[in-house]
Amino acid sequence: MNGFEAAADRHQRKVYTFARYYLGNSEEAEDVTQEVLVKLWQHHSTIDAEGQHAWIMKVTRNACFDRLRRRQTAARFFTEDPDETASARVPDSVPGPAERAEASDFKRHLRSALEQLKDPMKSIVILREIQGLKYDEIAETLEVPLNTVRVYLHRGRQKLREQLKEVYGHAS
Amino acid sequence: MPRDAMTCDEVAEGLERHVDGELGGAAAARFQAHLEACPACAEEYRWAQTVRHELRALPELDAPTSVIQAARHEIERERFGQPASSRRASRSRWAALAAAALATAVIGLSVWRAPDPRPAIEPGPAAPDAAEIARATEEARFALATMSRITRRAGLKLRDNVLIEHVAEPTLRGFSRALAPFGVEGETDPKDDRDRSS
Repeated sequence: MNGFEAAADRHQRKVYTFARYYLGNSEEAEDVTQEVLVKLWQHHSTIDAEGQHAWIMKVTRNACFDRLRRRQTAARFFTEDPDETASARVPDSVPGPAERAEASDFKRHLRSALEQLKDPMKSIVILREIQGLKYDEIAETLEVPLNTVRVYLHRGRQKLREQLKEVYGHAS
Repeated sequence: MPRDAMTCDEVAEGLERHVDGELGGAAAARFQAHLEACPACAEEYRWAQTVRHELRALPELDAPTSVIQAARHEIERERFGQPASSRRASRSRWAALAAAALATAVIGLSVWRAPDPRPAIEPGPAAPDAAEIARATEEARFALATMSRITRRAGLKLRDNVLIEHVAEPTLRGFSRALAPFGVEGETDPKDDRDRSS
């Protein structure tokens, strides 16, 4: 299991970061992270070292997408709970670094607006702006052309800008 | 206005690229000239810079160690041929059982009426109208949503066997027995089947 520990240590941050911002809550992000780490272990012998990063992010993104789809399906059968906002389905008992860092109202609105973005804009914005991936790395992960990455990144940021302007009206 | 000056539409089109420094020298200069002359576009440009800056300031996050431990346990169970019992599996199983228990309770309570003190005008209860059904459906959905939220929290704090064996399953059996006189079939306890057959 030493191999698992090393792999988990190497990849947990990028997987959890993506899932947390994509899904907007820690509970589902934790589930996705566990799922992806287990899949990594199950397939580690078939993934070549060079492609491992792209493979992991692809699997993470697909897991998040599936979870979002199941959430939307379940929403048809459950009444909206007014206590549950998009970014706080289960309250975290201890504020983590994300919660402390997002103390400001603007950051909270930014994260909420990010969670509401449609894919692939959301994935690309997270991978590029938060996780610092290069355009070609994003293109390989999402299996889209390079120019598509650039176009959707810009559109995604534009959408976020429009959302935030509605709330704030002027640049901070 | 100079002949090669950019229009506001052209600036809007190239705004994000300029924020990313992707415009070439001459185009960037024309862009900048427009921003200096147009307060509205300058404001938009400040917004674009702010969004990019704030996104890049969002931190990367570490998963709780409990997640790594849960993944390791799941892998160990698979390696030794045991059924997976991850947080994910236990939480969704518990949520399904609790939701089924609550749904049974809601249905059971709706058919288990207190004696009506008013004299019956006609034999048998009146068929519910659409408004009554819609109201009952809404109440049941709200109850299920609340139960779903509670079970997600409970699943983080309580062990699987405590929730499932000592609460959910006895509750389901109790509701099944309560509903049996009304012809509502539920899951039976294997122990009940064994008692009946002896």
